[in-house]
Amino acid sequence: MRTNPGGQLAPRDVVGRDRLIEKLWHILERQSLVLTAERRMGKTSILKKMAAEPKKGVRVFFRDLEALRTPLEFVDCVYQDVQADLSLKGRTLNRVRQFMEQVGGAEVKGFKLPQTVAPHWKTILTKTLEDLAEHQEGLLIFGWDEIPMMLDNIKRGQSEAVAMEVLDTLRSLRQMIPTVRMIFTGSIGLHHVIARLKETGYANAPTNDMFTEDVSPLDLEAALSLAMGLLQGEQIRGEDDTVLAAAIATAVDCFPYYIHHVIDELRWTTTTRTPEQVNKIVQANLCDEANRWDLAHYRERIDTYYSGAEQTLALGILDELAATDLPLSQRELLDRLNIQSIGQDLEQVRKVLKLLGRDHYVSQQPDGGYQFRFGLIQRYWKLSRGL
Amino acid sequence: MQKTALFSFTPSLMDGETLEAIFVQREALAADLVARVRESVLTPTKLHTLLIGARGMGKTHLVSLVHHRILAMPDLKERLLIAWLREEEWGVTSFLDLLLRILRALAEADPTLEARMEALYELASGEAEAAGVRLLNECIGDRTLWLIAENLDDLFSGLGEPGQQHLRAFLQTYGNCTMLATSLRIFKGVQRRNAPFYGFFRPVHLNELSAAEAQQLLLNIAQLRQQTDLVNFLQTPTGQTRVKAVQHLAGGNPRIYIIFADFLTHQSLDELASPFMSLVDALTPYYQARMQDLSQQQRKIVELLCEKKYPLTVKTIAQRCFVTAQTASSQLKDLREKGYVKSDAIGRESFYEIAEPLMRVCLGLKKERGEPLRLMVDFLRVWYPKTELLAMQQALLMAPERSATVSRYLEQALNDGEIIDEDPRIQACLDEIQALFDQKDYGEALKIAEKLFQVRDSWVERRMYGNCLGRLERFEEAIASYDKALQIKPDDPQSWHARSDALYSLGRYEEAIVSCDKALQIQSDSDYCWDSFFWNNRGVALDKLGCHEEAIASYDKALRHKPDFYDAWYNRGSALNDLGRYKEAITSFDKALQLKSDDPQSWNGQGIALCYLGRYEEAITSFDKVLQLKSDDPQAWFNQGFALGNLGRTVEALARYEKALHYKPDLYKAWHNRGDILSVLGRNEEAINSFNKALEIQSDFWQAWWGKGISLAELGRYRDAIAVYNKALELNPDFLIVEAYRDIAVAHLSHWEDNTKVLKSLLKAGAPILSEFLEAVVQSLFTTVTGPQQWTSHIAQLVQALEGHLDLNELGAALIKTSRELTSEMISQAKATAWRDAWVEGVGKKPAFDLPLRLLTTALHYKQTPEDPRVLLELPSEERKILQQALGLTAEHPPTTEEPSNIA
Repeated sequence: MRTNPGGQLAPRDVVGRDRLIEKLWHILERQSLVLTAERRMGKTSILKKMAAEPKKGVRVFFRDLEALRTPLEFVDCVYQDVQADLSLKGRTLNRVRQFMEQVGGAEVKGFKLPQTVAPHWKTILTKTLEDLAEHQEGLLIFGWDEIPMMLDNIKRGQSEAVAMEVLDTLRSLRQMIPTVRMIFTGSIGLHHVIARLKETGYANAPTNDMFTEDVSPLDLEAALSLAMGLLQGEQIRGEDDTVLAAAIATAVDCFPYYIHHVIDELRWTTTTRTPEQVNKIVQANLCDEANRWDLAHYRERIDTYYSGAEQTLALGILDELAATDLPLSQRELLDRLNIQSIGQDLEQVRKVLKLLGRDHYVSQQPDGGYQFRFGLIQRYWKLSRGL
Repeated sequence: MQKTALFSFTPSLMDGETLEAIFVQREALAADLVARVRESVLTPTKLHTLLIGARGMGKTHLVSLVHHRILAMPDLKERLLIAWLREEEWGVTSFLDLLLRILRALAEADPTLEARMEALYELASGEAEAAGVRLLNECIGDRTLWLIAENLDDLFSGLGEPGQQHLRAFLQTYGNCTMLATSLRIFKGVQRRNAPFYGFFRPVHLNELSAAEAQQLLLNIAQLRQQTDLVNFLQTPTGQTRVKAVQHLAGGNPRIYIIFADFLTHQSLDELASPFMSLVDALTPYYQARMQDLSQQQRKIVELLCEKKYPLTVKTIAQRCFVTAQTASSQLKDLREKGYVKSDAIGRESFYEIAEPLMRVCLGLKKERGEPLRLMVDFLRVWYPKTELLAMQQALLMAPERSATVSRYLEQALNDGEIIDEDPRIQACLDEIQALFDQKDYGEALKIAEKLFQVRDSWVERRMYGNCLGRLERFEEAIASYDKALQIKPDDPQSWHARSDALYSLGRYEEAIVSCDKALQIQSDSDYCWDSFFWNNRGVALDKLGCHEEAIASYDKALRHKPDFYDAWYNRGSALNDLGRYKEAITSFDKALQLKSDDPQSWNGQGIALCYLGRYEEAITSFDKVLQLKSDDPQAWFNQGFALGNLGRTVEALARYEKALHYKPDLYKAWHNRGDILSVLGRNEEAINSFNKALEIQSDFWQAWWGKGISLAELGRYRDAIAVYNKALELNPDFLIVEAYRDIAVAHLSHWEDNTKVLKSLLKAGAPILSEFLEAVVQSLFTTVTGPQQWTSHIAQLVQALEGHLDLNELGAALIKTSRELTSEMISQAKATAWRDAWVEGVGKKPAFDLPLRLLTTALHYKQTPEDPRVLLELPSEERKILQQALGLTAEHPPTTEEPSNIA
């Protein structure tokens, strides 16, 4: 196994996710799924591994949706994928064909659905899935990567209302066709997209029938195994390989992406490969002016996704949590933030804490206290904010 | 000579063998890239690499080489499809455009594709894109597409976010493509977390060539072209200097080295000038193209830096470009990342300059129309060391025919001081060094001093460098640096002075004085305050050489120039102490303390002088002052112990010595003095231990052997004492008192007859009779002669012998000393009584023995009832005290007349 920070992994190289994938299959037996995580945590690799190694009797359609800008383009993708699958079995999409004939004699000849059928995208989508369900037994899983990006594109290119319609339609289809499951993933938090839609009057909860599962960094054992595999693959030798692998895994909080990065950098160092060297690499990246790991994003996205008052509070909370190694309760945070009137402000703090939790900045401990979810990000925050 | 074509701007045109032949530095990287392409082709894993490096850094060369190696692998042939988008793939504004470029690239190997592509132009763009994806996927089939994209930053800029999203979706959805891309810099499209390709590529930054790698590259080129003259030249010191000069001019940019390959061997200036101008001319479009990559604001900054010959601060750049400091700062940061400028931080200030001087030279060409002097001069400064330029100038003067132009070049190139002196980094460095000195951060100061050399290497820098080394106690190196400064400027008094300081620190006092005298010669008539320092330092060195009188004269000179010079007053006091001129020393220390009352050194010096004058109470007060200021000063505790001991305040003295030893356990003199005090207190076993400690630390400290001997004798261990005294005498044969003590010990072990013979001979010779010897004589009478009658007659003879030579009270004192042995359980009451009676009879009615015999009688009473000390009350208190001491019943002894080990 070679370092491949950001590259596409062969399913066999997706390490340490077997238990999670098993759990996801189990969830999918009952309901659809929203897979959330920080970028580069490995969501896409998990999804592709599931598509490449499906359970018996399950059909998985993987599609990256980030380039799509209209509902029709989306429907076209689904249609193309389904058609390609059914044509292998000698089946056709009868319902779709008939509907297309009804709406003005259009016939699907080219590579894309014609623009003339754009107003009927919901119907075409519904009939496509109905056709598929009729011809294909077992669970039909659509793994749609970057769906929040597509919704954002639709919202920007068309309108919020259209984006809402897409979400509602997908929810409706999940209700209507019992064998259809969907997996939503994406680098933008779906909750941010929905929150923006709600600002314009959207009242539905379009994913409340879906199970939200968060992809965490690897557990230590898997991170060690990954680090060892990469060290061996790159023929990097430390004084003690196990110690070196452990140093790498712990220095980056078991983030697989950063494990790849550190080992990749380690390859080009001429000095002895030691845990100290690993820490230097991590430290250098945390302080990197060129921002190669783009950790500045953790600060910048507060400005992008949080409103004015939320921004101030979020920064204050994160500063306080970064400066301490102990979890802080809501009350302690209020005290430290020196907020005078408890009632309303406590609500604000709760709301922002919830947002920060969804955005993977913080996590709540069993005793109720909050702390940074990832030590690595906490270190970055502390350094960059001069705390 | 066969000349192989090297395409420095288009390496992809070179054949594989040529690419391999001139390849340096990046073999490991090339092998890694090949392995990654193989893995992507042979497995489902798809690895994407982005090579990052400035123009001319060898990206295309590396890509071409990897391409060449991959093509040579037969096992990949059927499984790989290569689409190499050229650097000139301009006009790609959508994913569809990109698809068409990829297909066109593939069509080079598959002409049938052209026709199939034609059908795409019949479709609307949306449909064409979908059809293009399908066509591409059909072409790829079950193979892997290796997409080589140069200038990815440009490509992504054209694609825009939608195009990038399409590309990423394509790569993710189909998983049949691996990319090797290049870019001038890391850019937002791959770096920002919200960009589609965030973290998608493995970034590899191409390093500049080091001088050694550059030399290897040039050797490779020379060998490829069979240019033996160049191969040989590159191995000479001059050749290596040239390579370094190119590195300075153009950084480690491989392209420039390839261009310079033909230029290196030109030796004479006449040969150089014309090819140089041609080279500058050839390179100018390249640098102009680099300027075109920049925004207008950035060009303005680069132009400004090209105009100046030295680095500028952000503030100056902002001022000159009429932009805010924030704007200048962010533009400079970007320019630095792009490799156009480099920065150098000195303290809090950052200085920016053009990263490649050659860029300044080339961009200046247009401005210096018809007057290439400045460019050539700039170039010459880098190309030739100053010594070589001087030699050339000399040679030119001797030449029958001179080129006026060349003369001007040389003259100007040699006269570079003015330009360098304007460099603001010099003052910034000097200020920063001073600030670091104030913070006592000499290590950092040394780094800045080293940096300063890169700007200017004059006597000021050499002296400053020496100062930094001196502060770091690297005195030898400091002296070498001062010597260099003095080679350049022999009349710099401060360098001489600093050199003297360093020599002094190394204990090379004579040389230090010579250095100091040099400094004083230069500034002998000046009232400049440095004079005082010179004189003071000179005095210190003289002191160290034991020339205290001359030292004092030096201090006086120092004080004449600077009467409030504390150090000189203190040093003068110390020198006077060394000369035993204690009263004058006290006056000097008083002066010093008027100037600086909180310096423990002067209080200590004053205390020592007072001790020597016997003014112990005042000395104790001085040492108290020291200890108030510095409670952990072992010397002060020691000295105070000495003063207290001399006042008979033995218990307090003991406590002070123990304090001294707490802070400095290896202060052997304190162990010795402690032993003395313990001995005085009758705690001889402890005293011996204390002397042993002193001897463990300093085995040749004869006073400790002597003190140990006394304690052993006090314990009656005369044989041991004799051995120890002998050791002391071995170490110091001239100290006769030790010999006397040894004789006393011997006497204790000798027979009465022998002792009386010695006594008589001493009396005959008129030698002083020590009380301890007398005690030994009396003791020997008691122990070696038996029978009361014999005692009586010997006592009578003894009294007779001593009368007229010695105060008989001393014999009486010796008699009292026997009372302790009389009260011992080993001596019977009868024998003890007989001893007393023998003395009563032997001395007759001599009054000198009234008191001793009275005390002896009470001692006999005490011997009968030792459990009841009330018998001692029959004596008046002053007599009782004497007896108690003789019997060893009290802790307090009278103050010692022995002088403990000298004070520190």
